[in-house]
Amino acid sequence: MTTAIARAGALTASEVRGLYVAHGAELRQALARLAPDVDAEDLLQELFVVALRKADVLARADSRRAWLYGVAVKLAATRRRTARLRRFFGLEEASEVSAVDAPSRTAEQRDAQRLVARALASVPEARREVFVLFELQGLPGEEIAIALGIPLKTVWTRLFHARKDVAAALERLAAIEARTSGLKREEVRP
Amino acid sequence: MTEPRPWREDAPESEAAKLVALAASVPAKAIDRASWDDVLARAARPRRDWRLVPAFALSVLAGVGLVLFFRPAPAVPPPAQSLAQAAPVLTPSPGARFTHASGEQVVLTDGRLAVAAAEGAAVHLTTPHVEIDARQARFLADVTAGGTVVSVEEGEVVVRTPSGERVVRAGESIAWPPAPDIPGALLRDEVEEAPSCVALSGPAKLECLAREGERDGLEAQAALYELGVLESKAGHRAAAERAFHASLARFPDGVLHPEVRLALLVEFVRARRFAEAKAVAADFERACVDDPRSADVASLRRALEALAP
Repeated sequence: MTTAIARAGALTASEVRGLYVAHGAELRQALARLAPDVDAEDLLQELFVVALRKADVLARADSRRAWLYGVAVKLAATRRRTARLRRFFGLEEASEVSAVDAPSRTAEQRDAQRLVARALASVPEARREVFVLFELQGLPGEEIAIALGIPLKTVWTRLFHARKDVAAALERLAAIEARTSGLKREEVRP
Repeated sequence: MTEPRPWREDAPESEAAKLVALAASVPAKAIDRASWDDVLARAARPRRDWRLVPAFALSVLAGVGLVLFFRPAPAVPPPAQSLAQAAPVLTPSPGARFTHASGEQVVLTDGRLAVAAAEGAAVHLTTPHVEIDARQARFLADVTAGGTVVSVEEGEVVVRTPSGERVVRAGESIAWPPAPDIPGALLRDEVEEAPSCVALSGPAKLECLAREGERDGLEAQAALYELGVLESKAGHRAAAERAFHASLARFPDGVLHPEVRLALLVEFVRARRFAEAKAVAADFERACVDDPRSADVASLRRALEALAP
């Protein structure tokens, strides 16, 4: 395998491994946020298989982290659609998903994640991707623009709309929770 | 363009933003370095199961056959007019300088431009001071040496300034850069009325003041000053300026000249004519050295220097 990717100007397998060690954890978390119903560990492996096979392209990338995020976003979108289709035709049961978050996470953080994930499910894909990368992963705008192959201004426009969508979805979820729990609306976050 | 801050910092009071920040704060579980071997093993596997290719080709052929068989009647192409509607409609005022190369990108360098982005149309307007994104909205952008004013008539637009972005909704407007705060000591709510016109009101009073202003002496000074203040309150900026300028031209050292200079200064700041305001402030400092409001005027002038260097 090492010889297979040792092309001129390409990263070596050990260099790609360095990226795996450096960014693997955050990429796996991003994959879980982008495609919650797909196993993020499996997606992460697939992502780095692509990285090994395209080691020459990765070597030329201005930002290797942005390149990896770009592939991660495409993989998550593709696998999410495929998984949904397979489940629709009864070809696949919902798969088990690996833990991607640190065990130190609190119950409050877990509840917030659950609510945000439910809200994000109703946000259009293009906006959701920008929202996840900026708000949850903390990527700067320039890297998001490189990762998604879109102009920086488009990143901000999508982020603006995504924030509105998420706020509205969270508001809806809180209203539903208030109705079903018997609490007053003000007693339920957000 | 300034990078937007995370939502939590942009809208600290928003419950949704707090929730998202909480979700984002969860650290990722550390990666198991040994799992790299799984990646290598997976990469070594053949990329495709070529046995599936014939089956795939057959299904594609069957699919194409079905599509051709059940193909609906060709759709009538949309009329040219509806395509034209997808582009933003730009209505410049005389003297406006702008470029609209193609698509949604518009650059306005000077003057006033009315923009209507109908359903399905988007526009990205750039001025020397701000950037505006709009979809399904109608707004007016006015660019002067003092800055850009955006007034929204329908829908909402996103205005990006060097300090961040803001959503401006129908009926609202935003000016950038913002005009400096005028110190309270420079504002006068009450004006002593010119004695000869005190019994009148409305247009009759304005006529009386204009007539009195043509005379000489203290009464003329009082009349011109009051005329300027009343015109300014009525929103007649040009008439107010005429009255103040006439007063300064005829009575440069009159008893009311500091008040007239300050009124003119306030008028220019409110009209966002910062270069002229700066000149009036400097004149005030020269002509009214002992005036207790000089320090306030100097501080306002320094703020104006940043806007009109």
